[in-house]
Amino acid sequence: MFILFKKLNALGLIAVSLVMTFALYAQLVDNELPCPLCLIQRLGFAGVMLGLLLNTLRGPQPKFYMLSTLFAVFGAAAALRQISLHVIPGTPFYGSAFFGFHFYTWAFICFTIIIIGLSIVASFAKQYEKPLEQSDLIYAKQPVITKVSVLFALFILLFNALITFAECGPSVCPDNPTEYWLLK
Amino acid sequence: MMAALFFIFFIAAVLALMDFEKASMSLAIANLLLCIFWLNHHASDTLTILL
Repeated sequence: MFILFKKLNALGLIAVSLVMTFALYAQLVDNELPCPLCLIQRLGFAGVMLGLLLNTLRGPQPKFYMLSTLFAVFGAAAALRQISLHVIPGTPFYGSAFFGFHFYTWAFICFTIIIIGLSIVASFAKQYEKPLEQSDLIYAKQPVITKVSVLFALFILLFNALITFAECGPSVCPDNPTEYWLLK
Repeated sequence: MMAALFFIFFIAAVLALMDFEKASMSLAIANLLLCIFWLNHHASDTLTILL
């Protein structure tokens, strides 16, 4: 059960990393620069990733699930705030739609799925029973899926930090960004 | 500023990889508080929605 849930967390980590990759794709290829609230939602996803990464590397623990859930609630609140900004008739939307929903609506749906998923997965008590051994913590001895998911997540986190700096610079991001701060 | 928050996540992930679990968790919790402050800066009524 311990190994199964470690791998399950690795799969979850890859899934959230893919969500972030899609957001980066839209930013770089379609030139959809994220607004401050969009970036805050990305921070929520990054926090979820960190909790899943700790579960993947250290073995499942309730405190790591708690970390991911807290960041998912935070991200859902930010997404809900942005939905409430644009839901009023006559209010312009931000960014383009994907399968009929805007990215902030998709973000809210994703955070809701994450919260439900984490609550269910965290409830299986058998995953916490195995005492942690030193060999469980050595990165080289981890399963391939763990190694791949951790490296992918690290790359996504670093890339987000760099591209956000390129967009906003050291100060506050503009409300409706149209160009990169670094390219001005 | 926003980039710094992402960078803190990256550092926390690297610390987790280097077996510094407590440091990683502490950084993550500190970053959550920073994120909440930052969210409140951009949208002060969000905490009302959250609560």
